[in-house]
This record gives sequence, C-alpha cells and structure tokens, in this order.
Amino acid sequence: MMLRALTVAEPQGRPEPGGAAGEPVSRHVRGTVVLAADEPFLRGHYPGLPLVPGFGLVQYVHELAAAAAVPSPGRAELTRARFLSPVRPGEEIAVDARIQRDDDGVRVSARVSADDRPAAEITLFYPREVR
Amino acid sequence: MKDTAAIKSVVPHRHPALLVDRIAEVEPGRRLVAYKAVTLAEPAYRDVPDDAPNEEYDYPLGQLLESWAQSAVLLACWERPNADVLSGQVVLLARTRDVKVLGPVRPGSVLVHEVTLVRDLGETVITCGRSTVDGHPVLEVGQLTLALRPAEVLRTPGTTTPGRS
Repeated sequence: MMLRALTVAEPQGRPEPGGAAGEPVSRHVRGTVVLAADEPFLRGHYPGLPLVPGFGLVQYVHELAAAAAVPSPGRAELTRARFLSPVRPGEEIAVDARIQRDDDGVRVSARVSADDRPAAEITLFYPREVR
Repeated sequence: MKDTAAIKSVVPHRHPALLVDRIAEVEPGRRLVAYKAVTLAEPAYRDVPDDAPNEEYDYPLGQLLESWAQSAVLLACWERPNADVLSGQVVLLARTRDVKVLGPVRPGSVLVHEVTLVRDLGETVITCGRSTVDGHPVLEVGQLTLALRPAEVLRTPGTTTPGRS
C-alpha cells in the first residue's frame, strides 16, 4: 500500500522453546513506522484529511509476519480485527505481535498503536500449506 | 453500470487510493457488485526488481481488503452519499471477522467484489461477501462492520473508537 519498511525488533530477546522441527513455538516481534504527510497514497485517503487506512494497519501486521519468516503462500486469514482510533501521518505506528506456530498453521496476534494510543487489534492466521 | 463519476459522488476516496473502478450492479440496501482491475502499473509494483519471482507480484493484502471494503462503503452510502470527508457523516472501518484470502491476485486480474448488506442499524452497517477473479473465489468476507460518525470526530486525535462500539 503506502507502506515504508517497518523497523523490526524482538524486544524480549530471550530464547523461545523449540518445537518439533526445532523452530520457536512462539515469539514476540515489534515493528515501527512513521508515515510522512506527503505519502502519495494518503493524497487520496483523504484529500484535505490524510488518514492511514485501517487495512494499511493489517498490511503492516502482514509485513511484520513476513519479516519474521512466517510463510504465506498466497493464503491468509484475517480472523478478526478491531479498529479503535484513526491514525494520522506523523504518528509513530507500532505493531506488537505474538507469533504462535501450531500444527494447523501460524497465528499472528497484534496490537497496533499510534503514538502509544491503541489503534487496532488484529489477528492473522496463515494455514499450513497442504501438499 | 455505474462509472467512475458515480463512484466519486458517493465516497471520498481519490487517486491513488480509490480502489474501485466500476459498479456492475447495485440494489440499494441489499447488494452491490463492483470491479477493480489490477494492473502492473499499480504503485504497489513500482519497486519490484526485474529478477523478482511471481510471488512478488501478489496484490498486497491490505489493498485487496481495502478495495473490497470500498465496495462495501459504496453500498452502505449509496442512498446517503458523502464525497467530502470534512463534513457530514464519514464512514469508518470498525471491525472485521472471518476474512479469508484464498489465493494470490496478480496483474491482469479483474476483481469482482460482491457485497451483501447484512444489517443497517443507521450508525452501524454490517456487510459480508466475496471476491472472484475469472469466476474463482479469491476472497471471502465473513463480516465487515462500518461505523458512520460525524466528520468532526476525525479532526481530534484519539476520539473515535468505532471498534469499541
């Protein structure tokens, strides 16, 4: 969308328990980004009042999951999302996500804030690819 | 068939954020079918390198959902249009449930968004539907809820909480 690259970190920094395949069962990742007021997409969303689209926040969670090596071979489920307050350019958007690997796929539960104000709660699920 | 001018008269989204091209059918208060053509000229593909694999051309998840949601806004506001986000009632995305992306959408695809109005409570409008490409489902929307609020709420940071309503 109108996204700049997220800055991604693992704030907890502690080793997670390994799963059957040796990969972590769960981990916590955080991404942050600030959109400029002249971001091209925001010129049309909306003229005279730029606002970050709610699904732009979903895209950020999706990109954070990709940065954390969650596979998404063209399929994804937005299990639920609640949008709590509008987000404006210039605000720091922070995505805190817990990534949980289960037998049926990977769940990403995220809280999104804008300048520390709750902006959205978003849960994505990436079903395990059936071969 | 409703063209771009009709779309622009109902919703405030504008280039490059207007992600609905045409309305094929509309039954106000009931259902709407809209088209969105995905092309290689989309800004989303501007920085894709020449040696990128096909997956790099998947239409971004956020834009696919935004495009469907704009079709939902068109249905919700068909009989109460407002093309100015600075006045009147504005439409905010409140919540979604059980949305499934079933496969990648790539340049050359024409998305057909089908929106059904589940319930119109005045300030809250609940919709559901799906999208297809060449007759194949690519998106299912279990529920998408829109909140209509006075435009003033957008001017004061942190005052609008549609998802909590």
